[in-house]
Amino acid sequence: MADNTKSRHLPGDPKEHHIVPYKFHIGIWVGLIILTIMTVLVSVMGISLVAFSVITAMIIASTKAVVVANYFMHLKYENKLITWLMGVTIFLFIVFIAFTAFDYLTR
Amino acid sequence: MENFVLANSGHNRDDEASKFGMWLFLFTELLLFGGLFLVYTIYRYLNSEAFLHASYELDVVMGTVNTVVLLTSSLTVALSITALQKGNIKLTQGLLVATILFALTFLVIKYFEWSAKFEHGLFPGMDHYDHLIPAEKMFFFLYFFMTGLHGLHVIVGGVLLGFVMWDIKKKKTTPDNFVYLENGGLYWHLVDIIWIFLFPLFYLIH
Repeated sequence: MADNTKSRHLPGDPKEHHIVPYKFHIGIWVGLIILTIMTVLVSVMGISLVAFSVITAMIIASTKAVVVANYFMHLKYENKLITWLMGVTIFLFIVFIAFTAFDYLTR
Repeated sequence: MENFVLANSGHNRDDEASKFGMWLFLFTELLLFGGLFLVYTIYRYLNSEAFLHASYELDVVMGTVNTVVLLTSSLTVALSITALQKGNIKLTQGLLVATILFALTFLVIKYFEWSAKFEHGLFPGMDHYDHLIPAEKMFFFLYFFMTGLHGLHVIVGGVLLGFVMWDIKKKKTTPDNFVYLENGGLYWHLVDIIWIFLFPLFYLIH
């Protein structure tokens, strides 16, 4: 019985919610601001290698997006099914990009 | 006994299903913007020189300020959920007001940014725009389309959070039933995530 209540969420049971402390959120925000400053600096300091700059910018942006999703959107504390579906969505997007790129790169 | 509700009596709620529905909607939003990012990526690859040249027209300072504004608004929404969970309704409302004010700040800055582009005649159909080479036209077309669509999402997100505030006032959203606030917050964070990608792609990649 005890096992059953653990795995099945009771509707409206407030105890199933994870309360994220204020300080933790503020810490996440500080991290995001630092990452933003980093991207701006990389750009303004004018690293002339275009490809390098694109990749750096995208890695930093993706890191920020993952942090926002995991902590601000509480993805880390939600049902894992949502994370899996997020993975499927990102996979689909990569397929779109890859197939279109194959087409354009081979013309 | 408080939580005892007959199945299918019409009075039970399922917060997890509500949030799940919101996430499914957010995935479709990601693919909507994903399609535009795809167009941007391909055209940028084909015309990197022109895109580079055109991107210098954008104001990095305004873009950076707007990024900080949106990140901070994401923080205030996230904090408002914690505040409501802890039963501090006044703080929840204050944080939501702050979020909506940040949304307005973002839009005001965007207005000044777009106005400057209008003055330079860079909006599709304007004088300067018509004399650009096709690839630079594409850059400004995508810039206006994508930041415009994102701006619409900022407006929708602000209105949604306004509805949530109304619900809190009417005591429909309470420390025991806050799934509307969570879903409003999820939408708001999505708006933030899209900007996280728009900002470096348009303003920073020099």
